[in-house]
Amino acid sequence: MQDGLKKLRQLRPIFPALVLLLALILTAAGLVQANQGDPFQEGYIIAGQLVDNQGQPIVEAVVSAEMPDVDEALAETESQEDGNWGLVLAEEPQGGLAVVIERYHFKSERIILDSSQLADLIVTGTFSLGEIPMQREITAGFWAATLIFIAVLALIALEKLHSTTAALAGISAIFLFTFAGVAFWPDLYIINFERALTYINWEVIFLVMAMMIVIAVIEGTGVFQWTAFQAYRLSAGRAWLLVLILMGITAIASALLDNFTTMLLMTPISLQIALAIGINPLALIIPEVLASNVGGISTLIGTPTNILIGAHADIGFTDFLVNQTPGVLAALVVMALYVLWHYRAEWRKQSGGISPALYQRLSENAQIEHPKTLRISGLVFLFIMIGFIIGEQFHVVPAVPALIGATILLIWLKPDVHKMITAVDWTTLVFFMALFMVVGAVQEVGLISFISEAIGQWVGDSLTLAIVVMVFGVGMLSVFIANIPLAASMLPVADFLSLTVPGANSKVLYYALSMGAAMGGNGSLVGAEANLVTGGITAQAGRPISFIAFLKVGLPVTFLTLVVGFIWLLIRFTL
Amino acid sequence: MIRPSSQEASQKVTSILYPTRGGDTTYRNQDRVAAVAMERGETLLLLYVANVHFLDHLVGPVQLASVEKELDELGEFLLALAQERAEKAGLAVESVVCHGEFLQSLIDVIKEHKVTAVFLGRPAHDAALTSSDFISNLARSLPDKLGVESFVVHEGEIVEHYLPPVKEDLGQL
Repeated sequence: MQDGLKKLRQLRPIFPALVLLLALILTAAGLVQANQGDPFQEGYIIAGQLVDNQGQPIVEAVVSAEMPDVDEALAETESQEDGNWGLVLAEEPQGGLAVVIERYHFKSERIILDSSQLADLIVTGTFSLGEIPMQREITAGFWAATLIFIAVLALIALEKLHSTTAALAGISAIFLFTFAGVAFWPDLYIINFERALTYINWEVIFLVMAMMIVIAVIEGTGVFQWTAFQAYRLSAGRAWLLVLILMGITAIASALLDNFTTMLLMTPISLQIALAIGINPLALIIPEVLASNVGGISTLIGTPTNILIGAHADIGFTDFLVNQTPGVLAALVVMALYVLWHYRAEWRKQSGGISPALYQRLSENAQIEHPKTLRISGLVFLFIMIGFIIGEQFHVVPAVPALIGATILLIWLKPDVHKMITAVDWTTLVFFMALFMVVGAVQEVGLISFISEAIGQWVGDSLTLAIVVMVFGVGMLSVFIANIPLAASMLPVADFLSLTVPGANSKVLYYALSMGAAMGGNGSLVGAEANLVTGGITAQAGRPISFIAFLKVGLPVTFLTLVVGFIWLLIRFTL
Repeated sequence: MIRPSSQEASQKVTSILYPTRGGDTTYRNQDRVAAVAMERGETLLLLYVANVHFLDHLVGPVQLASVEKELDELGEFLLALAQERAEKAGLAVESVVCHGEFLQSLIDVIKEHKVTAVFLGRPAHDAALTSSDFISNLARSLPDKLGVESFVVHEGEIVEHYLPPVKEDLGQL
């Protein structure tokens, strides 16, 4: 008995790994939801499907059946998520029948059944009106939502308010207009709270939250700093080689974790290394942040925009890896050549090195502080990656393996849970939620629909033009507009173009959106959060990055990488 | 929080305080401050203040403790570089790393160390965290409020110099 217990105790360290494995198998097995059949309905059934002028289903439209000279509706229902609706008439319609469809932001429809349709309904008991397109209507609410959306983007871009506060202010203003619409002037109605909630993509929220916990554990190990120091040692003081290695490291780290955290931790140690070898730290750090923004494109979890795109368009970890990585690698090579040329004067400036005391200090600052934590978190991280890949085969969303991995880390490492929960950046999650609702509001009033149609008309049947819009159009906008709200707003446009442009159902436009949003972020200091955090840290070392200084190197790099990304997408999806 | 990185310099000797971030124009200013300290027979007290307020407007996962630790290490390294330069010239140097508001940290350090003079570097960039006006105003107010002599240095030259009042009561900032 005691021996058995002893053996069990010996096995204790591998229990969390077994739990992780079991959890992965269970999630991989998936849960099959049985489709519930429609209950039998007695009476006369009229059905149909409501779509907008882009063929997208219209939900929550009020559909009613009316008879002439009868004040009260015979039956009333609401359209479902797929736009379908069904009216059940308890009695035989006499003397004619009209179906009335009403929905905010659409022109009301009144369809009068002719005598043959009515006879069909009475004889068979059912009649389908088929697909019913509804026309958009520009209301005062449309203009209010549009102005609020532009104001939110401007507040974020100009840093007048914290992004989260700006998004919250936006959705609050939208609700105020909606309530005013309900109470005083229906034309002002934008979107109600319940409907706004349906626009929140919870898969994104949970994936971001779980990855924050995992990253919080990994970042405390000192692995970033250690890796940067190894790069310094490997380069043997050759600055041009050092910048190439550091660009590679930040690109890979950004693809696996996220570019914001990568730059937050890589910038201070890179600054010290640059000072140690006697070059301008910005010649080392700006290329790093540029590589970080592009490297993140390779994977589902590399950038917040990829998480958004992946969850929205059902693009998995492997899909991103296979379809983006070659383009990203090519873009990184071109970028590396450009920065080597741009900072060529710096590579000649390097000094003879630092004193042994300073070298020692640098080495101490770059030590792995918790090797055991690093080993365990590395193992769990690997399991999460495997979970992403296996999960795709069984339609398990990436948030699930990420959540399981985060939980396993909490169980295995037993960190201070309060500390770990505070490691979750709730302002980011609230920002995402509020942003989803604001973008949902402009979708609801039809703004995104009008933009999609205008782009659709310009693009016509050309897939190449559609990719140009997504890569270069989004890329240029992303230079000045924060890429998260931009990508969130452009997703419905990509949906529309993917349906209407021949050949776009390969999801190429979502990959193009991912490239445009992330590579465009390199164009200016305000283009990506990683740029701003890097600038914030360099300013702490008396080396602020001015807007113009960043633009000088960032804009050409943006253009070059967008061209490379565009060519790659053409090769991958159109040849 | 104040963490002296070196306790070697004697607490009995008065000091000249030079807050620095180690920017690209700071070396000439450092040399000038070191020369004044040598002339006056005082030690040089280097101060680095890290402030994480730049994260306030950003959206991203941030563990403040990690960032503060990284910035502390960065500050210690920057001061160690400066300290090494000054010590080569034969000057006794002490360095202090703080995080928080610059002004409050400056006041705390002046009060906790025997500081007789403060040298403030004029910002070299438009994108710097402080402005020239802020530095001039601060230099002007320090002698009245804390009874220390103050200087503004720019590219190795003393461009402003203020003396404390002789008999007036010293107030608080």
